[in-house]
Amino acid sequence: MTTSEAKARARRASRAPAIVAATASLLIPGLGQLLNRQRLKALLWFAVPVLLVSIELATSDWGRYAALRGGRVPEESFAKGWIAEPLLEGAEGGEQAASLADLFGSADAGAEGEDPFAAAAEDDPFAAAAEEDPFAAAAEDDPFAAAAEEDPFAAAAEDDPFAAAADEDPFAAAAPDVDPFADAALEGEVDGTGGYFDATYLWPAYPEEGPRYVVRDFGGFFTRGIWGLVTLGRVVIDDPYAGTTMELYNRVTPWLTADNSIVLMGNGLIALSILVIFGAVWAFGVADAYRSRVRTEETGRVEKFTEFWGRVWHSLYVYLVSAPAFVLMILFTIIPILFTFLMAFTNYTYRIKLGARLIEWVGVDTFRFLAVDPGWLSVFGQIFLWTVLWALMSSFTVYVIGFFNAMVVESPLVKAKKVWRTIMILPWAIPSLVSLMVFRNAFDKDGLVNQFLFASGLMEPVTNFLYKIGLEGKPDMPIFWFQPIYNGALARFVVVLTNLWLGAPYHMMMIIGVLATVPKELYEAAAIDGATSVQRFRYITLPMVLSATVPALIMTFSFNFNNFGAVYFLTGGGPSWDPSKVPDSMRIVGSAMPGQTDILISWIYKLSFTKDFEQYNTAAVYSIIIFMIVGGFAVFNMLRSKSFSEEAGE
Amino acid sequence: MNASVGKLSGKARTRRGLVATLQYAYLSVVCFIVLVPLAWMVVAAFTKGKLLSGVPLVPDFSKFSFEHFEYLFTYRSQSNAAFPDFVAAFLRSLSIAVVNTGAVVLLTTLTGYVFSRFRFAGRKPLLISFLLLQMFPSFMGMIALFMIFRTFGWLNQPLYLVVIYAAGAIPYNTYLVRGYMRSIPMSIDEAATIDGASKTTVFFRIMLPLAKPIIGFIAVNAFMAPWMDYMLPYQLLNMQNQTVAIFLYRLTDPLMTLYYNPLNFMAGALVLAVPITLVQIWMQRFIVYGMAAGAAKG
Repeated sequence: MTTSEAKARARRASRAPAIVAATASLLIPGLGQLLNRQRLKALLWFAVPVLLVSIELATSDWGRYAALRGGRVPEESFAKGWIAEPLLEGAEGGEQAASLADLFGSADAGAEGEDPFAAAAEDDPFAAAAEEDPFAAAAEDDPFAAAAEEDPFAAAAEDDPFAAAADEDPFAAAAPDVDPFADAALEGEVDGTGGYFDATYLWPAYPEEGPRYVVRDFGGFFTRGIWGLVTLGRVVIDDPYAGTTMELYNRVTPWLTADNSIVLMGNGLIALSILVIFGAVWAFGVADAYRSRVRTEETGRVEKFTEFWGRVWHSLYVYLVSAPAFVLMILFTIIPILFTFLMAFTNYTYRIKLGARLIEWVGVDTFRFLAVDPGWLSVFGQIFLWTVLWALMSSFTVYVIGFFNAMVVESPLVKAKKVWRTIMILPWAIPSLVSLMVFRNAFDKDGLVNQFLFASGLMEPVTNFLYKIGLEGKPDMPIFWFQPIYNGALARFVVVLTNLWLGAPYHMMMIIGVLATVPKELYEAAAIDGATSVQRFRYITLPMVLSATVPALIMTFSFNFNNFGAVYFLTGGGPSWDPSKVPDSMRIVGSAMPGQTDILISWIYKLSFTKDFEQYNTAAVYSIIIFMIVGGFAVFNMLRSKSFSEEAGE
Repeated sequence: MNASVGKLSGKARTRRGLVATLQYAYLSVVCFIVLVPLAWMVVAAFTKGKLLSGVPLVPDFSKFSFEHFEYLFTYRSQSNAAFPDFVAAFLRSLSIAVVNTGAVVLLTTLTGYVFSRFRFAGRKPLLISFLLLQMFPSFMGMIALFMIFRTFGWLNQPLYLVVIYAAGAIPYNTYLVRGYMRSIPMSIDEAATIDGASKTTVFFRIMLPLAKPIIGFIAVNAFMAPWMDYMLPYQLLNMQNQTVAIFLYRLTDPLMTLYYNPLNFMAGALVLAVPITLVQIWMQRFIVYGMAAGAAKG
C-alpha cells in the first residue's frame, strides 16, 4: 500500500465527522467548532448569532408583544380612545431603540427630539418653512387634530410662504419636494412644542378580523427592515388601524407612526446588507468547521486558537486594511445604486406624497410602459441619439485637437515650449464649473460673442451664414445662442465647441506624456532610412500614441456620455422642446420635459428633481440603461487592457 | 529628433522656416482662443454695473471698479437667505477639499497597496466591480444618499460630504495606485520583510515614499473635485451651509431676479479660479505623469 493510498483512505475516513461538524455549524454557528474541541473559536462564531439577535431585540418591541400575547397588559391602555398611562417597563426599550436607531438608521424610530437629527431638522430650511406655515401653527395648538385632518405634506408644500421666492428659482423650489422626509421638520416642531405623547405607550387593540401587522408593530431592525422592503408599508396617515388612527409621527408608540415607503425601503436595504455580511461570516464558520475537522482527523492534532488567529490575521489583513474603503463604498455607492435600481420597479412619482400614500412594487410595468408607449419612446430615442452623437463628437474633437496641439507644441522647431504649454493648459486648470458659466455668459445675447460680432461688423454675415447652413432657425440680429426653440442645432453645436475648449488641453497633456515614452531610437532609425516627417508621424507616432491612448479614449467616451456639467451649466438643457412636438403621453412630465441639448443624464436629473413633476421610477429606469451602456464600455475596456490580462495570466 | 539630419539645403531651410512660422501662427491662434474668454472674465470682474452689455471689449478705465469684490467680501447672508456668505462658502469648500484630499490619499493608497501586493479571494471581481461603480454618477442615488445622511444626522454638515466624494474616488484611484505599485519591484518589500518589517511598516516606510508621483496626482484630483460639485451640496446642505459652487451658480441664474448679477459672478469666479489654477499649474508635473499612467493602464 502506497502512502498516497493511505492518505486518500484517511481523508475518506475523516469526511463523515467533518460533515457532522459542518452541519452543526450550519445549525448553530460555533457548534461545529465545539465538536472539534476548539472552544475559543466556537465562542467567536457563537458571537455572530448573539450579536444578530441582540440587535434585533434591542431595536424591537418583541418584549411588549410577549406581554400582549400573555395578557399582561391592563385593559385600559389599549388604543381605544386616548388614555394616557405612564410607561413602566417600556421606557427602557424605547430608549434603546432610539440609540440604536442612530447607529443603524431606522429612521422612523429616529427620535427627532434631542439627538443629532434634531439640530439638523431645525437648521433645515424646510423646518423654517414649517414654522411659518399656518398649518404647522395649527399643529402646535392641536397637533393630534392637525396630523389627522390635514395632509401635512400638502400643507408644507402649498402654503409655504417661501413658495413665491422659490418659484423664481425652479431648482430651489425642487429642493423641498425632493426631500421625501419633509416630515422631519414637522416632527421636530410637534415634538418640541406639543408634548402630547409624554412617555405613554399605546397598545394596539387588534380587532378580531382585519389587518394585523405584528412584525410592523413590534419588529426590530432586521425583521421590520425586511418587512418594509417586501411590503413598502401598509398603513398611512388617517388610516384606522388597531383601534386608533395613524399619525404622521409618534416617538413613544412606534407603531402609530404612518409608514413612509422610502424610509422602509432604505432601512430594508441596510438591514439586508448587514444580514448578507452576517450570512457570509456564518458560511465561513461552516467551511472552517469542515476544514479544521478534516485536518484534525488527518494529523490527529487540534489546531490551537493562537495558530488559527495567526492564520486568520494573515489572510484577513487584506480585508481589514481595506475595510474602511469598502464600508464607505457599500454605504455611499452601492446602497444608493441598489436603491435607485429598486426604484425602477415601483410606481414612485410626484403623485405620491410620502406618508399620505404608499409606494407599491409594480414589477417591470415602468419598463414595459417606456418600451411600448410611442411618445416616450420617440423622445427617449431622440435624446439617446443626441447623447451618443454628443459623446462621439465631443470625444473625437477633443482627442484630435488635443493630439494636434501636442504635436505642434512638442515640435522641435518651437521654442519656449513651457510658456506655450502653460497657456494652453489653462482651460483644464480652471475649475470647469467656472469656465462653463463664463461661457454661458459669453453666449448670452449681450455676451462677449455677440458684442464682438457687433463691434467687428461681422454680426450680419455670421448670422446669415449660420442661417444658410441650417444651424440657426432665423437670422436674428443679436444671435440667441441657447434660447429660441428654432435654434436647437446651433445650441448643440456651441455645446460641442465649448467642450472642445474645455477638454482639448487634457488630451494634449496626456498625449505629450505619451509622446515622451516613444523611444527616440525609432525616429533616429527612420531618419537614417530617409523617412519624411509625414512618414515618421504616420508609421511611428500615430500607432504608438493610438495604442497607448485607446483605453483613455474609451474612458473619455464614457465620461462624455455622462458629462452632466457640460450641458447643464452651459445651456441648462435649453432651448426647450418644441411644444407642438411634445407627444400627448408625455404632457404629464410638464417642466421635466428635456430641452434640445439635454443628454440622458441631464434629463434624468430633470426627471428626478423638477418640482411637482418628479418621475423617480422613470428616471431610475433610464439610470439602469445608462449604467448598462457605460458600465459595459468600462468592463470591455478593462478586460482588453494589458495590465488586466497580465493579472489573469499570473 | 531632427538633429541627426545633416546639413540642410537652402530649400529645406526655407521650408523649415515656413513650417515654424505656421506652427507659431497656429499656437498664437490657440492661445488667443484660450485667453480671450478668460481676459473677458477678468475685465468683467472689474467693470461697474450689473449688465454684461456694459463690459467693454477693450479695457476701459473709466468703468473700472472694485464694487463686485466689495460686494462679495462684505455681503452677509440673512437667515433664510438665497445665498451663503461668500467668504464662509469659500472656506467651507476649501476645508472640504483639504479633508477630501487626506481621506482619498489614505484610503486609496491602502487599497491600492493591498490589490497590488496580495492575492486574495475575490480580487478580480472586486476590480471589475470597482470599475463599474465608478461609472455611476453619485447624484443618481441622491434620494438614498439623502436618506442615509438624514439617518446619520449629517444633513447640513458640509464636511460629511467628504464621505461621498471619497467613496466615489476610491475605485479609479485604487486602480491607478495598484498599477503604479505593481511596477515597484517585489524584492524591495521582500527584503524589508526579511529584516522584520511588518506589512504596515512596509506600506508606510517603503511603498508610500516610492509612490509619490501617483499620490501627487490623486491628491490634486481629490483636491479639485469638491470645488466643482453642484449636485450633492445643493441637495444635502441648506443655504447657510452652502459651498462656493452653489454661490456662484446662483449669482448667474437669471431666474433669481433679486440677486442676478453676472458681473458679481465674474468677480467671484476670478477669486475662486486664481488659487485653484495656480495649484493645478504648480502640480503640473504630477498631473502629466498621472495622466500618462492612467492612459497606459486605462
